[in-house]
Amino acid sequence: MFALALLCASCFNKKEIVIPPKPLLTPASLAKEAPDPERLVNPTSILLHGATIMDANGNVFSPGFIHFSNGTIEAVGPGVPENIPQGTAVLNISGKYVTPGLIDTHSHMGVYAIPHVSAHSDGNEATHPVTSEVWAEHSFWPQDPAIFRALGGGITTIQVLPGSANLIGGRSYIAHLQPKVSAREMRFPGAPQGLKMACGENPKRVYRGKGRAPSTRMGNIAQMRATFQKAHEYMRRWETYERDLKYWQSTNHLDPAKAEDPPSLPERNLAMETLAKVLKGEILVHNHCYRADEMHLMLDLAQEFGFKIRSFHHALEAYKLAPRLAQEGVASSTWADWWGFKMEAFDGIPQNAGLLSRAGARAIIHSDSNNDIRYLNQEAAKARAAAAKVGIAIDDNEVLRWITANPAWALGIEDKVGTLEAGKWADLVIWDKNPFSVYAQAQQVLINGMLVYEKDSKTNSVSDFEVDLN
Amino acid sequence: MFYVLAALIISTPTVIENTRVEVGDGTALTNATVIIEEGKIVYVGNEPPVTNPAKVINGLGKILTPGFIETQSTIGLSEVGMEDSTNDYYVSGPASHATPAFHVGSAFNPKSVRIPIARAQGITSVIARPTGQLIHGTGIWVDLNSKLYGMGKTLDTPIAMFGAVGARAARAFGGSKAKLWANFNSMINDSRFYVKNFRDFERNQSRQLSLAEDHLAALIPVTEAKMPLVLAAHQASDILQAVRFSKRQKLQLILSGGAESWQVSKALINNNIPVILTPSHQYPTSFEKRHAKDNLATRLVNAGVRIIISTGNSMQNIRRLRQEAGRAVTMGLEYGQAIKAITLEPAKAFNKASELGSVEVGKRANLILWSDDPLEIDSVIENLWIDGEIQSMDTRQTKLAKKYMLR
Repeated sequence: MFALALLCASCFNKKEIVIPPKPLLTPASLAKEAPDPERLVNPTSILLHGATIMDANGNVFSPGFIHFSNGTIEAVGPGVPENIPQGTAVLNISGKYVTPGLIDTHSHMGVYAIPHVSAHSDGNEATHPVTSEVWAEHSFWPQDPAIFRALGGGITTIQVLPGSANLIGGRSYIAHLQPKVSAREMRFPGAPQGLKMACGENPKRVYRGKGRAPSTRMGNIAQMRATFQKAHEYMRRWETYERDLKYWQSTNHLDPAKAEDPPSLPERNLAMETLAKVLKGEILVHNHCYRADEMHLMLDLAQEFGFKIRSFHHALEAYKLAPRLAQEGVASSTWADWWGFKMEAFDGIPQNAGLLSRAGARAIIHSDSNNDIRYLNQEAAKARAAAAKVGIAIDDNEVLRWITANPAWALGIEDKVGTLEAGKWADLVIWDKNPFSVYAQAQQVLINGMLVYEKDSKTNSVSDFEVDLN
Repeated sequence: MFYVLAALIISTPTVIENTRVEVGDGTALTNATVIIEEGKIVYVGNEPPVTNPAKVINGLGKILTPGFIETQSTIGLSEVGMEDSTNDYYVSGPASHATPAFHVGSAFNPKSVRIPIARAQGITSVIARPTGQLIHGTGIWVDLNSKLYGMGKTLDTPIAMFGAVGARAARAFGGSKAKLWANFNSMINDSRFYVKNFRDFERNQSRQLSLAEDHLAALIPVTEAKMPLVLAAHQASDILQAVRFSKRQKLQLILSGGAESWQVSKALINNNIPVILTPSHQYPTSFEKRHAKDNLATRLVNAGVRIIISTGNSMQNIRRLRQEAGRAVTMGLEYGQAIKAITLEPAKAFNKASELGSVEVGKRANLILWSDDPLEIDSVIENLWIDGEIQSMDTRQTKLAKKYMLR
């Protein structure tokens, strides 16, 4: 009856009906993610000399110099440079040691902030085994008191990861530790995001406890494969759409009268969008995985779906597949001496990093701890000492790379930080002793040439949580 | 013939000469000689007697220390942290809020994988202890020489009662520390009541008591101050409460944790209470540690409080003990005091100083010869003796490393 009335209405209206053209929606019309912040740099030209400069790029200059201005390194070398630009502040810091700022590929600071109260438990969205839509950045609390202490340990960049309850835990967040009020302001400008994945005991334990899949290792892999299959299909839908759009744009816009409808924008799925970016190599995969057999499985799975694993994390058995890791260019972020706290950690050995270096693979010492992050230099030194015990000699440059250049590569920021080289950002630590001594302490820590920490200084940034304590 | 030879070998002294000795009491000797015979230290000094025959070790440029002691360990009671089938250091279930009769000795495994790993970083003795809620039970003092036989007395002897009075323990008492203290007080009172009214209790004519008979009996040495009571607490007000409680009840208190103890150092000194602390743990991981200070060890020692450095029951990694002591030095602690805090102080606090804890004549030869500074990361152990016997530095971990090096 109603339909009939409508028909009749059109019977009486003799005017030609013009259907407005379908709105042109393109990827450019999608909502935009908040952009990266600008780099906050110290404009001053500064020359440090007299110190032992360890550049993590093959050189230990003793004494050497480092010159930086506008937050960027101008030159590094032995002795003192011949030409010092006018207006440069020249500081003799003889007896001190200078290294690149330390980089931790595995932190939960800000997402499992201290004090450990229930309200600060923001690291695992353990409500579904696949939560690729979540971002660690959105849990990150910049007032975590642990962050300010990590700075005192010479840490300048961290990767904050979601926890390992989920097979796919979400996007990681690379923070440049200049204290700010919001997480986005602390984003490392230009750093690609990472994806946290986890194999083994954690996901199967968490979801078995919830009475759902996965509850076994085979269940873990099955669900990862199913998820990446979906991601492939999602990516293909968008690729098809983009092809059709290009075709439409190249033909139909010429004569609007004859225009066909533009192709419809596919539904946007934020979880799948993350994984599509992984498949395109725009987001780097960081895979929590302890056992060698599981790392082999994951490398095979990544090959099956056409993505790369950038770094295994924890990777306590990486030494058992070091040749493959070296060959495929996959980094291993591991500890110096953690082991045995669960079954998949039983074969963890302190020689892990040394054996990886020996095989030509990329070793990284990570913390996964708001305690060890304050002593990452000592943790690296311990791993080296353990390697020495079985006859593997690791020199100062290589052990330093475990906590600087190699993590920079794993995070995809190796063109900006990780070594002391002209053109890179002036993130550096001035130590009072050889940084691989238990007695070494960071004296000053600089990010983009700006002082972010000075030992015993009353002007260091502190967390608002502790504002009444000094 | 064999017996004669064996006797000769056993009685051959070991002479370590030209070495620096960190005695363990805060002092050091240079160019010293130490002689070990039949498992004991028989000489320490600069004018050694002539021994012949002897095994001579040149200690030039090296450092001899007592074996290091970790007082907060679950070693031998746990293999894999998250695998309950391998764990014997705690009991769960109803009435596990206070289990003074839970003695871990009978569960101790001297062949634990963890023992050689801890020993390879200089730990020669530990207290293997239970964990739990308010009162955990009693621990044992063990040497890490992996011996199965001759352990009977060691395993049967409770060395200390362990407990905790912080927020976590309070959960077992409806969530409030106030209730925890009230119940704790009743337990100590009831243990004394039990001793006095033992007959009535046997005839079932006693009033209702706060704990079962075996638990009340296990508390007797604590109430008589014959056995130390180690209580974990961080917040200054909780520590003061523990001090007042132990004073009123005449208990022999040792504080563990103690993040905010520097604020109440006077009470600790006045009551002669030592503090077991972990140098690297001094930051506000909980509200109870809001006033934590990185240089806690230095603050306490400067105030006159006795300290014991521990890795804080860190499960698999008590091997970090020397690194912890090194951190304390970095944070201002005098070097000799750091050594003392992992040798003589723990021995003293747990009534073992007559046999262990320092390089002194008459003590058992639990000794380590280090290539260099024992608190420095890359120093290595050249020799480690327990009761004068050289111990292997091989571990399952070094063997795994070597296995995969051959590939």
